[in-house]
Amino acid sequence: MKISLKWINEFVDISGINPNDISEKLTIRTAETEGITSISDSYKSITAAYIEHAERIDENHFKCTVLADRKYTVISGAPNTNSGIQCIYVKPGGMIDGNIIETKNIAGISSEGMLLSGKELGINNDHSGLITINERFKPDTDIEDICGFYDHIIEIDNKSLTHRPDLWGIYGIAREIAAIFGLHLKPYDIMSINALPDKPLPAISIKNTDLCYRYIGINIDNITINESPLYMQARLMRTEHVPRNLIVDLTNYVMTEIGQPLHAFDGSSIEHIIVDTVNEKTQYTTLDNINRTLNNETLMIMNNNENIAIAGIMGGGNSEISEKSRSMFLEAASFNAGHIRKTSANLNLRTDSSARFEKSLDPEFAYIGAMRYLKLLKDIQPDIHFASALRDINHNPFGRNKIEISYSKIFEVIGKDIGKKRVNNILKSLEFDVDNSDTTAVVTAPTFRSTKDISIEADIIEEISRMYGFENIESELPKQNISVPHVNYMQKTENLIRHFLSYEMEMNETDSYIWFDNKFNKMIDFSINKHTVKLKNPVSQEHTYLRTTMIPIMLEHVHENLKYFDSFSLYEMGSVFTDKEEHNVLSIIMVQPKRKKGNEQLFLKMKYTLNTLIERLHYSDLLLTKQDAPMLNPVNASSIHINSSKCGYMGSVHPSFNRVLDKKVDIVFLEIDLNSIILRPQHTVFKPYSPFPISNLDFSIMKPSDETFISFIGTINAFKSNLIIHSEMIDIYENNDIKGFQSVTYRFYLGLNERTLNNDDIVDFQSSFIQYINSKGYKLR
Amino acid sequence: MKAKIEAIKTTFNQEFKSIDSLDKLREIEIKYTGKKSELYSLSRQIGTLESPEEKKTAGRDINVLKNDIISALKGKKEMLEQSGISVQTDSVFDISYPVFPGTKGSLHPVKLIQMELEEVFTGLGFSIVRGPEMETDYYNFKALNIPEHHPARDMQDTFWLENNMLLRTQTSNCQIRAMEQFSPPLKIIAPGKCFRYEAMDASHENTFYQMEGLVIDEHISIRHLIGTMKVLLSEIFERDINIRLRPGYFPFVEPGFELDIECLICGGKGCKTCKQSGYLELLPCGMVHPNVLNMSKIDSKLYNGFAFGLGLTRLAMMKYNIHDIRYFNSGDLRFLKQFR
Repeated sequence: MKISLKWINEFVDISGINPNDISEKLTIRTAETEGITSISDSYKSITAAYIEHAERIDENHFKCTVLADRKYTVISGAPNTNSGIQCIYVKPGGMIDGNIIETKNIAGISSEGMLLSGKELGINNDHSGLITINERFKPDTDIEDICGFYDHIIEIDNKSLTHRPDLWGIYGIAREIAAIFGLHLKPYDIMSINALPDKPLPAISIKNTDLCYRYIGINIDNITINESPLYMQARLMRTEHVPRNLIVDLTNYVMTEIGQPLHAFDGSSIEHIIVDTVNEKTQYTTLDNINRTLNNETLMIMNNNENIAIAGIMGGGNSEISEKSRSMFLEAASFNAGHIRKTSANLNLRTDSSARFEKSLDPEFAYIGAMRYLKLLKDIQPDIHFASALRDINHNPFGRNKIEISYSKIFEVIGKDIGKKRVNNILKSLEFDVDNSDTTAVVTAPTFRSTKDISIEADIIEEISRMYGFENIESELPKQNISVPHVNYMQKTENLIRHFLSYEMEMNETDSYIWFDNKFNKMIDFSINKHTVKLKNPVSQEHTYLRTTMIPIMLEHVHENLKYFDSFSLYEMGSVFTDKEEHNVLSIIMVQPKRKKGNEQLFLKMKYTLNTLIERLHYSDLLLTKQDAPMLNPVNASSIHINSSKCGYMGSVHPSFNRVLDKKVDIVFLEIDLNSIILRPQHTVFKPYSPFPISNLDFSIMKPSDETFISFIGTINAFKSNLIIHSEMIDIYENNDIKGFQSVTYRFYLGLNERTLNNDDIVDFQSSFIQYINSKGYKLR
Repeated sequence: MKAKIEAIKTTFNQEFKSIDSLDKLREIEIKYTGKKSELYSLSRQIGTLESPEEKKTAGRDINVLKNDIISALKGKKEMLEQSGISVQTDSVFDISYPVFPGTKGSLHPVKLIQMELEEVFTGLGFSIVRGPEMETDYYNFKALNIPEHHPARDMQDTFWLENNMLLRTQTSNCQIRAMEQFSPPLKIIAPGKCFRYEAMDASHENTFYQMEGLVIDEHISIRHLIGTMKVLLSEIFERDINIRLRPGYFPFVEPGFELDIECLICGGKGCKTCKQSGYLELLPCGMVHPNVLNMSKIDSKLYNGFAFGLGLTRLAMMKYNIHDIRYFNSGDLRFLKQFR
């Protein structure tokens, strides 16, 4: 929202304060300002001037003698250029919208400065001709003296006003400025109800008082559709309203002042205003000429049975003020904020009006707004007639909120005793009533803060602390008892995994969107399953589903990175989703250029990585069993089991994926549920070891290549002897000289707690082990 | 005997001159002072001499020579050690011979920042909590004092899912869950991925990381919030940080603040980065709204607290000078490999 300091100055005298100070103080006390613009930075040397003489020199141009501080020769291209008119002139060397206006050659003649249109002057959008002023000014009267032109405009971040319906108008901001700087806020000048004639009331019926809290209307005759005063146009333009005519401009002017939207209907057709919801889907054309479909239960303003406006959002073309209008019906109403918000969202139609109503405007503003409109209109067009009395149907559900709060509570939350007097003064400066005892204050919020903004103690504390100034509150650390933080094992697990994979396994951690890329999935023939969660409002039609596994996303990363790299390993820890659940998984993908047995090596590297990883997290008993999985090669696609429970899958990526790649690579993928490998405490218990020496004994056993290791190891481990302290596999040898076999070397660590082993012990062990493996059909190498 | 002693002395003196390395010195040392040395065996023979006089002389002479040898060798040793000629020529090598980097792996920059901050916070006694990314309306909005049709929902345009859940717009959902689970006093942080339905450009992402913090105890004041934030931010930026609070509106806090830090580039004088304001908007914070406490079954009459939200992605951009937020989810190794 943009505010004009000239306008503010009407309500609070800020002439002695630097505009930058105002902007900065508003930021730290009230709402964030987003910059300040000084009109004098981009407009200079603009005055009233008379065209003493104008003559047409060609089809498009007039040569004029213009009188300002002296006579100037100016070429004008405006069709309304004429001798004897008063207009606005920028002298040579002056500035318009940041552009310096020099003497330049137009149509072969040297033209000094420039005669201006309203658009060029920046006070309206009219570029049809020169702006003319009816009031007579001395030539060379500065534009400042004509319409208070040189203003400062401060922009306030609307997001910081979301909770403050009272700040959606200049007067509300003026109240804050007065409170911040300790200045006097002038009363808001409105028409007195007594000044209105005693005439019949207009016909108005509110059918739904839950949605329409208040409706004020009055008929006015003998209006003139003409331009607003220049100062008003300038203020409207700079606060982002394009001036049209006084009747419409005044609705915007009052809205900008106090936040209350008003609506001016053409008066000729209004007979009976009815505020009611439509009871079926309805088509309606708003005044922007768009045909809209209204849901049933949309609140409408009707004239008899005809819709003439969507309540609180936008009027229709059928009831608009036009050049021909001679009478009007003024509406000032108050609507349910939630309803306006919902309707505006459904229609996807946000207007100045809806933006304000949905903040919960004070219904009192409807009355104040109407009376301000009447006052300004009567001041500018004294010839208007009030054709009816003012009708005010008031079902305002809000009262003034009363909050009882102890001073000690206030001081405790601020962290400082700032004195009761200070508290009371701050509240009063913001128009709160304070009724206090020695320890407690009963604070009554003004109506414009009672619709939703102020309702609890904390709201009062906020008012006091912000106006006291957060910069005046010293910092202090909380005093706290010693306590040990809860360990988050999942977080610890993830951090351990990160260190291991990145620093030891040389992998690169990545992070991705949690939705699939439909286009890529199609390219690689990945199809989603029936448990996939669909987004109601995806970023694009290519990203409509949440990931159920990371494999397609990791493959897409591979696809992209292969343009620059041949060999890499990526991993990500993140969520995958089904319609019921969310799982935290680890995904790893390893890529290297294709080579003989490369797939097997890469698979085993992945298996090694997984095995080391789970050991770090204090798990053992890793078991892979063959099981098909999407995108994986059925030759080695496997389920991962840890401690006999299935928790993930891994395998080589299906060779068909290579179709979409330019390079020939081997890829292995793994995905495991992090919950199943969450770091667990390791309860290590020291085992006393034998004081006597240990003997090592190696055996190389010929294992048929077609036998799986899982069965072979099972057989070897089934051999028992009281001499075995520990055994391990230390080598696997494969070569053409032992075709059909793998020579597997086991090392046994033998010993006893009571004594040193002697030769007989070892020979006995040797022969019984050999006997055992022979009995199982194996031979030593 | 005497002649033998003299002979040893002569050969020692000759060999002593030839000592040019510590190895050689050690060799000579063993030869003349070791258990197998001639001098040692001579000393063993003293007993075989006849007269006590001879024994006495021989013993003395042997001792003198032995001491001379020891001290000569000691002196030589010190000299050699100082002059450094003990370096063996075969041990000379090119110390500029390359070694290969220990790791080529990398961590995601946001996770690096996250881990750093987790360390700072846990050091201050904060616990880390987590929560789901796919969330219910209740935990994402209602429990945070944002009822349906509340204008604040506009501030956090949301991804909605067909199973009637949503993607969390902030990690405050974790705080609510933590408040339900643990009783006060509480000091927690909730790092995690958040989602907002918005158009993307170099500084806007629909997927980003936040770390929210929450402190609940008796007698917590705005003063404590300011103190805590100052300490934390100085820790994070590794320098003293000046902060400024200004009013901010977030339905789950009251009073709510925007916290600005004095511009890190210009130090508050005003520059392009801070748009001449001298401050950078860093994080929203505030005193926890009593409704939020009550909804989480914490008695707001006994306890209060403060909450804050740090944008991890944004901090990573500041720290690593990353100018485009879209790199973070790109999976591009040219980006990822730079962070260790």
